[in-house]
Amino acid sequence: MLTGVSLTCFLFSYLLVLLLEVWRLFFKLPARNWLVMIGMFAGIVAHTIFLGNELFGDQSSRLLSNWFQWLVFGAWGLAIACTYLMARNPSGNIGLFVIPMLLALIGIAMAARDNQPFTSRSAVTFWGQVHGVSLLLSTMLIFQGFAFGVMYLFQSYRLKSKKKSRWMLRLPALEFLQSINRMNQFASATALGIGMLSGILLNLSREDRVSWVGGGVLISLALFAWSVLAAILESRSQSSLGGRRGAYLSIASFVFLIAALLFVMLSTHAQSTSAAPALEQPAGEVKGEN
Amino acid sequence: MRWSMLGWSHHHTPIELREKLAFSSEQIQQFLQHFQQKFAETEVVLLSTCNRVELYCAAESGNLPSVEQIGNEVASSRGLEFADIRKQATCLYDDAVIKHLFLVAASLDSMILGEAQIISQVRQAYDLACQSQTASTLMHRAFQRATAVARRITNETSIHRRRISVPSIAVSEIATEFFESFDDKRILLIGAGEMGVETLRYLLDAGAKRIRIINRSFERAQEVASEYSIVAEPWETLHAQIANAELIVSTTSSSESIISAATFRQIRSSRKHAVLILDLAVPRDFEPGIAELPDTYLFSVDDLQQACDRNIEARKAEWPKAMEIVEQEAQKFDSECRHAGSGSTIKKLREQAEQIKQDELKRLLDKLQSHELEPQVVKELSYAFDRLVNKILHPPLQSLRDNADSMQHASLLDALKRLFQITD
Repeated sequence: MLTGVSLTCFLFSYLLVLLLEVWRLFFKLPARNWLVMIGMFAGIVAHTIFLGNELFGDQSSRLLSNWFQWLVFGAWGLAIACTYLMARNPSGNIGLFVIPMLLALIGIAMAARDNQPFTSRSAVTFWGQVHGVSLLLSTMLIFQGFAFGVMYLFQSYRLKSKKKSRWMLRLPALEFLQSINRMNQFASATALGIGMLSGILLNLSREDRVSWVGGGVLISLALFAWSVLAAILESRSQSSLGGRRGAYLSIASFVFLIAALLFVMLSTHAQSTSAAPALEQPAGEVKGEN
Repeated sequence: MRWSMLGWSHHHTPIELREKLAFSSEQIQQFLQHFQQKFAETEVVLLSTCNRVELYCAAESGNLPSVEQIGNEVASSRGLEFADIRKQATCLYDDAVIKHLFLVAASLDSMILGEAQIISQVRQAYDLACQSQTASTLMHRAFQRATAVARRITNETSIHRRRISVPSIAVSEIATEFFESFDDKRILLIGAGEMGVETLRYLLDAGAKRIRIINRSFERAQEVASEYSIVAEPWETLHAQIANAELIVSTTSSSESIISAATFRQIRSSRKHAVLILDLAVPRDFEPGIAELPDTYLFSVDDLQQACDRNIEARKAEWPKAMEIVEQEAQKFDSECRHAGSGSTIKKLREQAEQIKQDELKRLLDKLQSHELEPQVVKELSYAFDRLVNKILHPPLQSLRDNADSMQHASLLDALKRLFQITD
């Protein structure tokens, strides 16, 4: 089934959309919105086929069983969210900020392609799936939050200084950027919370204990605590224009996440040995447990 | 057919004179009726706006009234002497009239390029002429086409798209950079003058629902508030209103600023939310130092004027495209008029040929009566005569059609009339 679709296909589509967005800064492009939407749609179709082949092509391997699949799946979710936001705000250059995040996820996925697949020894199904999917969702939301945080700060600076852009850059209203940022913060904190809780239950069901002092567990706990704090701070802001703090919090969350991802990917946690907790272990490990 | 236009516009006529020449709707109808009583053969439409007074005349046949006659009628109806205002007048004839009408309707001749009001004013002038029964076939054709041309320019160019008045830019281009919607925003409008009311209209159009208006004269604020269903607040509560608002639009005519940076800082000290201030007043109502405060976005008229100028430039950039459409449409209209003008001649020529055919066929059939012709033979003879007539008429009529767009059309039509002795 469409085995010829490779990662290059959708990567090329997204790159093309990014180029269109950059092109738009300097020149007018007739039917630009249509071209962007066609590019994104083509990318998502290729991405979906590729993901389908990866996940279901090899019956012997498990679903989301390695970092590569996990990150490509995250990028797929971000691509869909990005397309929706671009369609909702066709006049804004949202893609210019979100597509690099999408490409970054694909880039990290490519770098992690040769990493060892997740292993697991205990028969866990439901909690493992919940754990992996919620962490995946929070990663996607934090990446998106970073893009919107940067957009907010840029737009706020531009309006405050009344500087007319030398390019034809057009961003959505501050209120819209803030609302997406808020949504990202609350949703990512919730997803991280669910990920944490399911990770604990996963460990308990597998090993009857949780290794709280493990590096991966600690960094996950810290990331979750930070997300909750950021969400609380954000909830206290009532203004429709007071999104600067939220934007800084989103950027900080992103930096925190990158640090956490690097730590987990470079440590043994993702390859979860018998002693290692599955707190950061994506859903891949849950299938094919024997 | 002949066309003429005599008018006074903002190009050559100062506002003082335009004010004297301006007609109300009732005056237009009275004038049109009076004009047609004097010049019964002439169709006439009078367009009167704040930027122009123009009289369009057309006649299918015969002569149009002279410039002197038209000018005297207009001037005397306004209590003026034509000799005194002739220097400022513009007079156009035939093709130039149609092109000018298209330019006016598409607001390409307006003081503010691309302004939207003119098309409704042109339609209104035409409607008044229709009601007064001074517009007939020619004016119907010209004004309906002018409306279509204006619509085409609106659709095919972006000449009307960008706003160019300060209040409209404040709401549609600046405030929308901040707010996604206005329905739940706390908006404070300071000043209930002309600009305040204009801004209020734009805010309401944008969906604003929670608007409070504050004015030095509370009665005036209440008057505007009741007219537009918003809330009026007394001037004494100004500081409290500023503290509470998310969007402030200030349009007072105060000779000095009404809020200093220190006062503003004090007012907002207890508030955490950000605020957008659109200061449309000259001199400014809010001290410029306020813009330095965090989470406070202050835009003055100068900032908005830059956006206005950019939009005006953008509209000007669309000018060649719009002019190309006007040229095309004027040419097309001219060609259609010529074609319509030759219609009666062609009809008469065909009728004349048909009559000859019928006479000759009858004569032949009478002569052949003794031969007791079969009905089929009679039918064939009739067809043969038809084909003969059509083949003879085809080349001249084809030439006429081919030259409908060229300058030779009138001379060809004239030659046709003379050669076949067709009289109007």
